[in-house]
Amino acid sequence: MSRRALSDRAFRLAGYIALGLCLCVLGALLFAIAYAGLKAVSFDFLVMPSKDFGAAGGIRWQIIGSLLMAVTASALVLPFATALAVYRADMARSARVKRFIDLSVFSLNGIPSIAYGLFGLIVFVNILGTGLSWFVGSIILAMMMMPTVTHCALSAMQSLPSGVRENGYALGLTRRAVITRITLPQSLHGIVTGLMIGLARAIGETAPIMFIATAFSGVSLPSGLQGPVSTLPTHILALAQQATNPDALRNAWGASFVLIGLVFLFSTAAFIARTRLNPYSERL
Amino acid sequence: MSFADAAAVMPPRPRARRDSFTLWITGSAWLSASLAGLILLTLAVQSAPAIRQAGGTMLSVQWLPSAGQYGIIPMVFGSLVVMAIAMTIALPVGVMAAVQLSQIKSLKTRRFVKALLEGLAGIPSIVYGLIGVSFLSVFVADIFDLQTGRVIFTAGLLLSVMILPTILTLSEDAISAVPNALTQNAAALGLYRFEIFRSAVLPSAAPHILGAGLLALGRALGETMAVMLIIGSLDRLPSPLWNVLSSGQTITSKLGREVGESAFGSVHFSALIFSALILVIITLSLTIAAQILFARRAKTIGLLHV
Amino acid sequence: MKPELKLVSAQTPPAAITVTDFSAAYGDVNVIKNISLSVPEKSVTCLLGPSGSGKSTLLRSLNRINDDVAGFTTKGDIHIGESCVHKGFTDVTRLRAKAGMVFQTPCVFPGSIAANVLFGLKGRKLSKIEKAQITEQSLRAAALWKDVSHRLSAPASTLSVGQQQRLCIARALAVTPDILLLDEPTASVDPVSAREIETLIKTLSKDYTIIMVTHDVRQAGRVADRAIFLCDGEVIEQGPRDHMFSKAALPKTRTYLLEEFCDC
Ligand SMILES: Nc1ncnc2c1ncn2[C@@H]1O[C@H](COP(=O)(O)OP(=O)(O)OP(=O)(O)O)[C@@H](O)[C@H]1O
Ligand SMILES: [Mg+2]
Repeated sequence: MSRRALSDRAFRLAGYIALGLCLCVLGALLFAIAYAGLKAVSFDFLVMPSKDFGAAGGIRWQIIGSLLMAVTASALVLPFATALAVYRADMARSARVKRFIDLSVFSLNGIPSIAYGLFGLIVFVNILGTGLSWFVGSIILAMMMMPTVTHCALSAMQSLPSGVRENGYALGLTRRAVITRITLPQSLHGIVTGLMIGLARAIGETAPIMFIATAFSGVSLPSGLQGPVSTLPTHILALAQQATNPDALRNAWGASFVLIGLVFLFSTAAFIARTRLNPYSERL
Repeated sequence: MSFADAAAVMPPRPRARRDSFTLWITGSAWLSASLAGLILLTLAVQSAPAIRQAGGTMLSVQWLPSAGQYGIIPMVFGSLVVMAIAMTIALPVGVMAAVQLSQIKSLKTRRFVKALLEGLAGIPSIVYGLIGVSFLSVFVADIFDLQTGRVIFTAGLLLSVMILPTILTLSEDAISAVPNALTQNAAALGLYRFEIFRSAVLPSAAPHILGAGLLALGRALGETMAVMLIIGSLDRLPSPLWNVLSSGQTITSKLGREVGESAFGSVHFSALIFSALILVIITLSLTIAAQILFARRAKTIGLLHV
Repeated sequence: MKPELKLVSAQTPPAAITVTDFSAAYGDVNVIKNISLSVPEKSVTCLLGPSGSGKSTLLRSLNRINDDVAGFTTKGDIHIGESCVHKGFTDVTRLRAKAGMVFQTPCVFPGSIAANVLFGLKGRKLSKIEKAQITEQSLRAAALWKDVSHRLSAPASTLSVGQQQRLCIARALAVTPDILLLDEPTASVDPVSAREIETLIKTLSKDYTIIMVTHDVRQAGRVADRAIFLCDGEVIEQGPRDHMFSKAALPKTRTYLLEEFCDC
């Protein structure tokens, strides 16, 4: 065989091996999570509060706390991310402003999650004196979701058929009317998709909230905007640190399984939103 | 109403810029757009005390808050080594897998496999940490016959899985975006697939693959939870330096472990924030460099860490 | 201000649109160079000229839709009736409602046919009956009523392209404009629909001032009352159709109109 043919063989083989390896890793991970997780998950596990520092009982308040924070975060991010996308798509004229907005969205996306946590700790918990607060955690999560939602909304707005806005203006609509009646409704799918992707990521975050919004045990519902909640990721963290205790580890896997279930739920919602809500998709 | 009336009856309206709706949009937009700067500024202001009081000693290798020593070199070193290990594994695997993926003819199958592999990115990092604690570190300890598997190498290995989907999807996007005509013309010249890849695909896909690599680097540097759980948290340089089977510390794991124990306003806290500032500056530079590489590409990808 | 007319006789009706010493540029590139022209009321005026001569730019300056194009600047005046719609004029929204525009490719909004017709009227308080009346009148005026009266709530995207183009015209008519600006309205339409739209334009010109861009010289010969020949951002000649298509026209005009060839 010629050298050329030989290196081609090697190249093909490497491709198969690499893809196979990726699929194997994915399979192994999913199997491990399902296997270890299903051993812990039961109906009781989902609805009971936890006991013995998580080694016994369930994860009721953790599920509720996680959902509370993530849903609040998406409610907070929605108006701001939408406004930013609208501004970038329909209002900003100068190329310099546009570049600045792009840069700041990219930057926000590039900042490591722990830095968000530090920001919240410094500005809210200490300087503004909120103390541990789930709401502050939601604000921080909202900041983290911001680039995702903005990006999805913006790409939906930018991929609208080129003439729609112009046709609106030509009918004598004001800019406000063009935004509220053309741009926003026709890019709703992008906004919802972004929100769902953002939710799926935010609900699994630990680093940004562990200093500022959560407590490990003995918390149920907060009575106001202040006070900590328990969440699934911080619960898993606490349990993973007692790795020598098999019961704690088992429940950590159970909580992980539930957490991944929630992530999957939101990702599926994102996928559905992308196709079903798009007014221009084939399946009208 | 005719135009003559319109102009006569209606005084010139104030400029559109000032109506309340526009004001609301503009205000929210600028607030949102300034967040990144706000974070940087906050970190910079909070690192000031450490820079003033500990100054040059922060560039030493000793971290002993009780003795007023805040050397961050071991952490920076740990971060870089973990990142390098992760990249060495994930880049070739990810790119080769992307090449193989782009060979799948049926669009449906290809999308499906890709979506499946992107699922790796959906697993929260704390769950990766749990996997590291209960499986990976045990394996590593067994294989290398170590007392503990919570070592730098384990962290790098785990991290390589975590950044794999970023490299894989973005590379696949880049490879698929190469015009078919180019590959077909190359094939018509009687080139092997390897040669087609090297001569026709790689030149135009390379900037984006590089961009994908930079984004992945940024992600690897910033990853906290998984690394913190399995790196062993030892604040010193490994000896010898290349001994990746010893415990270590990264900037992120240090922050995750110690911020809770330091008092706000102390030099200790400030020194930790300083290391975070360095981390943010490095990751920001990587992300922005990646975006510049993506800039010539259609606007749909590039921003998301998939 | 009295516009200065370049050409022709005293029989022209009072000008509805007057463009005076008007220039327009994208960034540094001047695409309309100090032109003056007039368009009479209630008639069809065809803008003719080779590709890139600035026809669309001129049209899009008339309703100031080009305000939204980054780097677009203008100089000079445009009057509609007595009022100046360029310098110092701020109510562009009203202007656009009064000067309906139809683009080269039809663009329907997602939603039903009826919703599309009423799209420009959302801000106004209208009863159901009024809405139904407006829908019917506009669709009749756009010669689309017979085709769609039985399926007004069907998605507008299910119409054929020619029908969509007429829907766009109906949509513009629903906001009761005085002027219609048509940018190659038959460009994406088959010859039969094109003829239908031509007839429609001719009918509409009894009530509206129509300016229409077209590349089809013979079409201009059929529908135009007046023609304006633009080349490279300048008005070469303007006048009644019979003048423009006759031997009395300037040599450049004749070359373009009769031989479909441009030497400028
Ligand atoms: N948005 C824009 N930015 C920069 N230049 C533009 C823009 N739109 C048009 N131009 C330029 O202005 C000139 C006139 O364009 P315009 O669209 O008015 O021509 P036209 O006469 O309508 O041509 P056609 O018959 O092909 O439609 C052209 O040279 C074109 O390249
Ligand atoms: Mg044109």
